[in-house]
Amino acid sequence: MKIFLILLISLQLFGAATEALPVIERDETSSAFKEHATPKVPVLRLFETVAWYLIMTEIEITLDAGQCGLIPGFRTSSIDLFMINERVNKPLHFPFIDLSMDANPIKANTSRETGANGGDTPKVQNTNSHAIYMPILGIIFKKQLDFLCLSNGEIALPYLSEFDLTYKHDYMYMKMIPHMLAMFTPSGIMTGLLDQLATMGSETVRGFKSENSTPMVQSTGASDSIDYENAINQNSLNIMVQGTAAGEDYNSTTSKFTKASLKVFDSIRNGIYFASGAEMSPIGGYQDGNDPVAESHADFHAVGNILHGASALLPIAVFKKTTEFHMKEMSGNENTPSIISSMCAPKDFPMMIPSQYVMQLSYPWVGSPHELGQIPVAVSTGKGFPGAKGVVNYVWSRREFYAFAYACPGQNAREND
Amino acid sequence: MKNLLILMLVTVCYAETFRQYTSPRGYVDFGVHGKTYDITEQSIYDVIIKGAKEFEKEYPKERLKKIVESEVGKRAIFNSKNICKDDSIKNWETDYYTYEMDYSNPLGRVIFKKGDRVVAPKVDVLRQVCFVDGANLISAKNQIDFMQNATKGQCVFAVINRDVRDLWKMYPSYEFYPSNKMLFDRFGVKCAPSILSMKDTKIKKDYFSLEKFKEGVK
Repeated sequence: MKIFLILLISLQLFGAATEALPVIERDETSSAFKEHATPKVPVLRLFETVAWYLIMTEIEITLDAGQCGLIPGFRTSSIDLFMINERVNKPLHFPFIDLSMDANPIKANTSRETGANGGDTPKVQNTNSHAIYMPILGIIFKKQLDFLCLSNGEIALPYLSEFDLTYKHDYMYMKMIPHMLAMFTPSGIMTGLLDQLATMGSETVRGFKSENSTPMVQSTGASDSIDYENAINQNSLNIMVQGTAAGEDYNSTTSKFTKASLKVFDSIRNGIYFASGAEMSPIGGYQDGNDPVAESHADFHAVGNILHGASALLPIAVFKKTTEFHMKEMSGNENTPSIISSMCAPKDFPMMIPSQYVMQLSYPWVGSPHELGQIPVAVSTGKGFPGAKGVVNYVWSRREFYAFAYACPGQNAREND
Repeated sequence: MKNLLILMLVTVCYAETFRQYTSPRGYVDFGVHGKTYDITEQSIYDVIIKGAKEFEKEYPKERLKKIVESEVGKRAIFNSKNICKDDSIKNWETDYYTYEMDYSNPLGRVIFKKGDRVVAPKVDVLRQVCFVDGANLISAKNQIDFMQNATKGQCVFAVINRDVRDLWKMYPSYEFYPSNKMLFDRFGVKCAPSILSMKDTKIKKDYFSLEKFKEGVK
């Protein structure tokens, strides 16, 4: 009896103390799970399908001053949603707006070229990759976030693999861009493993969640009308936006440990530019087709290589170097400006920069953002959808620059002294 | 009894400490003094919702479809005035790759300078790239038939001056791609119709006069 009384009194006192703690209620289940709806057009359901909280976690303005010519600025990191990448099974099919153009299906099946001395078993490659330039953040925020130099311009399709001779013919790709051959050496394969580990580390430090630990959210609700209030409950990603807007803590990348770790991981990843982490497939679009969601990352890595190269050589200003990947710190030479520093203006860089891009699945499921080259189990667990017409990813691009001094795309370039 | 009292005392102290730590008492509320200003800055959450709604209004599905169809039409054709006037069968030559710009590693060290020349990779290639001028459909047909025969069915066609989708329909089992500037420049192909062959580190370019593929001329 005495012990019971003691416990009762203690509990009541404890209860009074804990009343002062804030209680966060989140509804992480969705009414959409009650019905198995067909995935619908992600672009027409922007609020539900985009990981808006990346704006909060990746945009940072510091008081570190710098200058571009004579114009002072502040070191800033930002992120921009500027592109949609699709991986489709049928040529000229666009699941991001559910459009199917008449295309010859036979042409899609192409045997892989084998060497004259035999070699690999011919594979049938029947997927295609599309890059759709769509400056969503630039269109939405327009003048409000002018100093962030968000992408602007009209929606365009800079790359369609149906019209690229090198996409399904590895030998053509190798002949067109010979230094990509580095990945076919034993050291290339070993460095690919190192790249995979660096990618995993980078993702962990940034706080991106693995798909096998996040609730599955469909890219649409059961009804056709867009209900933004319900969307809050339907999309657990956007709950973080609410929480962050209300001043709650989020994973900041400003802590010393975080910055130091990212330096190491990102410089490893970008030093091995020819490998795409766990996917190890920077050229062509050949994968075994068993994991389309994870393989879409490798597809984008290949497309990114092509578009980076094309942007450097032709007047296509889509893919430029906009991050520093810790060059100065890793070279140990703080006082010498790097010849390819992009703190004052975007620079041509003919190779893909994996740490510059973040992929976020939007069709057939809505997924968490992921670093390019993250291991498949973290990217695609539970994200398959039998009968889906392809995979659509939103592509975010990072930018590091001196705000207020930076030459936004379209302006004359200004250089460091 | 003594032990019981000690235990109760410890428990109460712990709970009280915890409560004070999380919800202090005895503070004085000084109220609000001075002029206050309403927050005019919109919550970013509201900005995002408003922006997303406006985006969907500005770009309805029909408008997006038209944009995509127009862009596909642009990508499906490559216009070029590089037309061959004479036949010219070249010898095998070493395939050099010339760097068009400085290639740097992420640390800023220049690995290849603009103008550096390297021998292209040694790759055995069974297929050949057949450049076709599609301005005239009948001439294009003649070119395609000729080149397929000449290469024993190993052509991958790079087309100029014609939407490749027209040729996809005419020849469902052949591969047609729109040509591009990089393809011409990389291998030094001067004009179409032509056949580009690759073997080891060597390439061979055969040019054919367009005149011979005109209607009725074989």
